[in-house]
Amino acid sequence: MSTFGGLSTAYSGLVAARAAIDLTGQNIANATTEGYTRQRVSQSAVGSASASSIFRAGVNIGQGVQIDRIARLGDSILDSRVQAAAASAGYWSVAASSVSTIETSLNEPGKNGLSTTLSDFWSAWQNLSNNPGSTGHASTLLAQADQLVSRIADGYTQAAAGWGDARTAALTTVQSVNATAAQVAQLNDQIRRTTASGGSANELIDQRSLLVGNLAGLTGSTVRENSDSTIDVVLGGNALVSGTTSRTIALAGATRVNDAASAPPHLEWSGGGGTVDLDGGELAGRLTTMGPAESGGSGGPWAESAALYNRLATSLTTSVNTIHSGAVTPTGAQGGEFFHIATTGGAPALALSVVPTDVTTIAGAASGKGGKDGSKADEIADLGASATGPDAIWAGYVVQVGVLSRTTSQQAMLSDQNVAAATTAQTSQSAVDLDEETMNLLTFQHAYQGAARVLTTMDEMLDTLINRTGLVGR
Amino acid sequence: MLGRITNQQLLVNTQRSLQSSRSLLSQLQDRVSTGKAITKPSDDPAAMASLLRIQSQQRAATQYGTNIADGTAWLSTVDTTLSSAEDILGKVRELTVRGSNSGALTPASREAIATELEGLKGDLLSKANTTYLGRNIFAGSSDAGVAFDTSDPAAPYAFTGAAGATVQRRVDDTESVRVDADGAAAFGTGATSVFATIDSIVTDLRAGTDVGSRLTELDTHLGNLTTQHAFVGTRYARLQQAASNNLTQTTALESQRAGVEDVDPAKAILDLKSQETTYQSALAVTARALQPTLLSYLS
Repeated sequence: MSTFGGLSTAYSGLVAARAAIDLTGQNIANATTEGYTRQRVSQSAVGSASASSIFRAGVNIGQGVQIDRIARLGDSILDSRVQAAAASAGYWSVAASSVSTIETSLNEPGKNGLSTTLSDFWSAWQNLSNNPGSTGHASTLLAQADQLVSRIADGYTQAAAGWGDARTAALTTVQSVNATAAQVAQLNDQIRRTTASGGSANELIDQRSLLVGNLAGLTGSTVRENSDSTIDVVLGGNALVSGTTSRTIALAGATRVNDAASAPPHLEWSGGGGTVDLDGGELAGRLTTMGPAESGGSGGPWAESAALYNRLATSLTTSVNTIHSGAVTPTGAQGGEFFHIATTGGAPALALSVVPTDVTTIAGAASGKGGKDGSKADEIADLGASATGPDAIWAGYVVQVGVLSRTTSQQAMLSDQNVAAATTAQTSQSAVDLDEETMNLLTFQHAYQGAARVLTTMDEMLDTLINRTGLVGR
Repeated sequence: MLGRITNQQLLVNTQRSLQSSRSLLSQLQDRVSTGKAITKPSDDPAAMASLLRIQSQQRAATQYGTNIADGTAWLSTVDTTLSSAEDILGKVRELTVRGSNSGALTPASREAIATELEGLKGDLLSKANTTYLGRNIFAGSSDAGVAFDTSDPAAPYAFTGAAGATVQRRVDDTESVRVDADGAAAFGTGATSVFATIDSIVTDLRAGTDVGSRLTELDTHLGNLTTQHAFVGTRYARLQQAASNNLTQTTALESQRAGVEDVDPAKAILDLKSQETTYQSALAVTARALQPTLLSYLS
């Protein structure tokens, strides 16, 4: 070992300590950066320059320290756990928020709910039955009927608008998924090139993890790691991002709630690659809320809501008209329809209208019982208590929405807790701890000081050797 | 697993627990300020189902209350009218008895009795044609102007009501009570009506014929009137009973509703207070736990 060998050993220690301090600085600077994963200098000791041989005996001292790489202390398993939890949370939060919006729009229980409007309508019939042929009570009844019709139309319009909003949100999400996928592909390219040239791509990887996490929350996508430090993002079995290339998806299917049954909204691979099957995420949640109504009431909540208002309109029309058309007006004329559903108006809830315009066309009397009879009006008023009438349909729906809202919000809460647990585990592993960094700072500072002291010692030794040796007897 | 607790983790966790504590606080505040345990269906879907049923029953009960009040007014009118009709008929009988003393009466006296009887008949007819809020109380659901039509001399005292066309008031989900009286049964119709009988008595008196034999006829009519009056009394009692049932039911429904929908104020306020304390201590603890780092202790 040469006389000056020790100097370079000490120097390597200085360099390593300085790099470690720099990196601690980087960690502290990014203590609050979203998605930042803490880093460590990975260093190793340098062995002696020459091995022992028969010509050379004695101990060989190593030649200092070297920096191998900057390690990123992330854990891909914890990351994927967070992604899976985010996918489920995204799905349930969308489902819960749409059901909760519908629930609020019901205005139940309260004075503004449809159940009150229905009760008022039946009461108006009862009052007309008590006062047959009364102009005042007849106009009250017609006003109540008009209100009922407009409430039903309003409810339907709200449901249709809610469906439209869900679709707009889904379109935006699809755009954001496509943009994010393109970014991931680009980052893959950068990371591959940086790694290939021996650089540290840790910050790029952090960025990519963040984007992949977002994608998982939106679509429930999963990640496959490749050997060249790129990743594939997989969506329902097919690659959305494959290495440095990405594909795009598009929303297809109905554009109005009316068409949801004939053409359920779904996702397609752009350029004809078939349907995208989502495993979760916000987008899957949106598609579910846009689903068509089903007989058991388990379909998409918006379409179910629209279907309910149609059912109400039909039930009202059928039950009231059956009695009304069998009754006679105060002048003895046969009563016609009370409610009318125009066949060209599309949804029954929107096509519903009231036929009579004044007391002379409202039929509340039984035939042959005189003009002041109100028995048929009483019969109509009694529909409110029917177990299969509009009131029962409405009450059933309100309870159904209540149950659905409760279960979905519980699911959303549970999946949020899962996300919290997964994130806790992830941040426990990868986030910066200021106390720890401070200790590292101390350690590396001392390491630096120590290395500097070694240099000083060397310097003094050499000084003694060069300037003070051989001066004896001079 | 939790070997490592980082600053960020501490922050996020604290934030989350503060948030959940606060949302609970806001829920309880909402509950105390509205006084309602159920403000939306998902608060308690099962209770919501009962609540909807109770509310619709409450509104129906209110309507039945209105119906009962209206029916009571009808029956009161019928009742007083029948009482006056009975009084009038009583007077008619008295005059007829006086007129049957054929030997003791001068033609002038007979004429006087006959004139008075004609007047009483007019009174009785107007009682029979009594209206309540513009409707004949003895003609059921007919919309004719009067219950007993005298406009056609060929067929006087024609009853304008239709058989079975009664006026009913619904007093609960299953029962309706008749609130008018059957004019045909009470007064008779056409030639067999009480009016025709009085007319015959008047004619007999003027002709000098004995009217004593008409008394049986009059008694039959009086009997008919009292029978109808008794029916009205029964129905009136039924209506009173329905009114009292309605009141009981309204009270019961209200207490049911309160039990389902309203919160117990004492419990709600206690919950709110204890949650406030929890939240405040959480804030205090957070303020102490988040501050220190190693840096504070190094010189």
